[in-house]
Amino acid sequence: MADYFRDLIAIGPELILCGTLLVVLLVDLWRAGRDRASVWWIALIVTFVSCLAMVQIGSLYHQAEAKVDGMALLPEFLALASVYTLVTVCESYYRGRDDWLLGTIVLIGTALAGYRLWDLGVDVFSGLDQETAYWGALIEGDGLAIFLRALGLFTLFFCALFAIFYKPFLKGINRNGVMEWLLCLIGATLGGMFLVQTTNLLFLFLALEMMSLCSYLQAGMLKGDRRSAEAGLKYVLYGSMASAFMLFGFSLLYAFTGELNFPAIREILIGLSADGAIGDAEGLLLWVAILGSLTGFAYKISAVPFHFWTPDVYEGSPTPTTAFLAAGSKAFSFGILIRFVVLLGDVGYGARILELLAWVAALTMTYGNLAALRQSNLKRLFAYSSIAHAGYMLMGIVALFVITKDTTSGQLTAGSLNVDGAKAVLFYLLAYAIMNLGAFGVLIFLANRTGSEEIADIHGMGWKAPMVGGTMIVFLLSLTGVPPTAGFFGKYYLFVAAIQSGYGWLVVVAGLNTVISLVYYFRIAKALFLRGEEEAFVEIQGGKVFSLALLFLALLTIYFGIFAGGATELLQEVGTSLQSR
Amino acid sequence: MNCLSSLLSPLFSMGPAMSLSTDLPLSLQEAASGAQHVPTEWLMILAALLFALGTLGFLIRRNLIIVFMSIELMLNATNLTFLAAARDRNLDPNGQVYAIIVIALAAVEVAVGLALLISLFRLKVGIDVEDAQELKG
Repeated sequence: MADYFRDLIAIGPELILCGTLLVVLLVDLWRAGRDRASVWWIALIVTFVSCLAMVQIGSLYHQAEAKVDGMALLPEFLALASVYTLVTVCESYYRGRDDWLLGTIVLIGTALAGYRLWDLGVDVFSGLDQETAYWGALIEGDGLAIFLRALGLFTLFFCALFAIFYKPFLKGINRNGVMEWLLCLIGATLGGMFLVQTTNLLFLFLALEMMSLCSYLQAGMLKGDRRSAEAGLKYVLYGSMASAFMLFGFSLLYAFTGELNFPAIREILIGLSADGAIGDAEGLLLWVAILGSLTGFAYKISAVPFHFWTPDVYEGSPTPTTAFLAAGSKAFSFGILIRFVVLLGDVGYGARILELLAWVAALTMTYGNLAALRQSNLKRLFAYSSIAHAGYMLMGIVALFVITKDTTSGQLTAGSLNVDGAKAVLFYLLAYAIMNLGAFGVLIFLANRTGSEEIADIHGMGWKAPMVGGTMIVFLLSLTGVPPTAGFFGKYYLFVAAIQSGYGWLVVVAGLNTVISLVYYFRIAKALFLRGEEEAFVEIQGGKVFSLALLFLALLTIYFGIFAGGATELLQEVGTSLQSR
Repeated sequence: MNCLSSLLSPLFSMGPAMSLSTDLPLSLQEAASGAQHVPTEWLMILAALLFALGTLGFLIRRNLIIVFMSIELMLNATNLTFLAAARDRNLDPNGQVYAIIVIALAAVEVAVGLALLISLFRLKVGIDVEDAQELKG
């Protein structure tokens, strides 16, 4: 019983937090419609106190070790705290007036969390923190996690910035305007940040659901808009189905191994295959288990055949949501996919699964690019382009292992880990997040002026807003993969990794696809600059900050297109650290 | 996970099945207590059937409420697999905790789904799958 109480005390802050939530909800119900601000102030104060208590109690009970536990999650706690600050300020002072205030709070919270993450990252990359498993091996705070959390915060920052300027939010369709949307955005990012750190099947499911549920709500946020409501509903329907498949895969994996931690599962599977204990029946079970688990990830990264939700949801959602789905949600899901494949790719039936994934990659990029050719709606076009890019990145996942085929028996075996595969995917995720955030930023800018997202309606807009139009050209070049942009190096590393692992045919398919993609990306550029009549430039509200943000993203795209070396050295280290498993 | 298990293990150890001895394998415990259990394979097959039924319902039913019920069926089939596997491994708390959490999250998922369904229904659209067809191409 002593252990029981000790553990209870160790998770005391969370229990306080849960209790607070319940109290807040109860009090809120009791005084509904009167003065809700005071309730949120209570919540805010208790959040900060329990964040501090978490670190303090941890250090009291487990000395230095647990204190590190608390500190490792501080970025997430800061993001959580900014949620409460947001709601508090909103309920106290905001009555549908000043969106600037709300946005600024989120941006400051993000910057603080980023600063904390920087400290953690310095420790990890300088090799100070060799032991990176926290919370009883629930969480792995290694280089991969640090990099993708940073990327998530970057995405959060720009999505929040774009949302402040997004017109449908400003028109006040919802009582609380942009506030509810920002809450969901932070929640989804929080879930994603946990997702990329976890090595446990239970925690993975929780984190993925936290990200998904908040994304569903983000998609259906414009309550008066039929298309947004439909997008939200479709997303939640297909999403629940995909997570049910994933869970079924997890349950079979658990039934097979009796473990929930990735490293333990890996050890047991290696042991079983060494004993020759995996026969045909067990093999089939394992095959279904891994395929089922991969379904959930494939849905999130929108790989064929689980891509069907992408065009509808991208088109119907508010554009800042679309930007988050394309840049944030996809990066997080690829992060956990890398972890999953690295740990289970070379045991049991991993080689066959990788072979299958290679075909999925080829199909995904080809389907995405061909379908994008005949789109007239810009968001729909970018949805298909995002499917195509998922295909390119899957190429890097496939390249994680060198597959050798035994010529006599036809048996496939996965060899050693190819670190360049992980490096290529991570660099592409970085490049993709930057250029996609930029492209969706331009879409928001244009839609604010024209009120439409059709290609036909942006004719000549490039001349009306030369700077924004110019940045769009940079993003489009980068999406195509033309030097000197980040997209070029992204594709280059992916191709090199694929060739190293013996997937020459996949590189040929990807090369052909790049040529196809040039056609539809050029159509946008043509509509911006080569059509329509020249008019005087009319500035819109908030145009300056918005243009500066876009300019920054464009410069970043070019920067990584010229000086890719620094980033890739860092990512090489991340890949090498994956080798220890 | 260790934390969760040790948190919940006192609760589980109060059950009658565990009162004999926690160290004995389940089959021995059964022999000692004389209790009969449904074989694990049967539970697994039942779970697989329920899951298939849920998938079928998701694919062919047009009413959105029924579609959500089908998803519930799939998730509960998963729970059954977890619980059967946990029982097979000497009442391993990991699988049982997983099932409890899935139950909670299934409820949350349906709550979000129904909220979105209502927001669509308020805009004078029906609750049939065919009614949600604004977006296509």
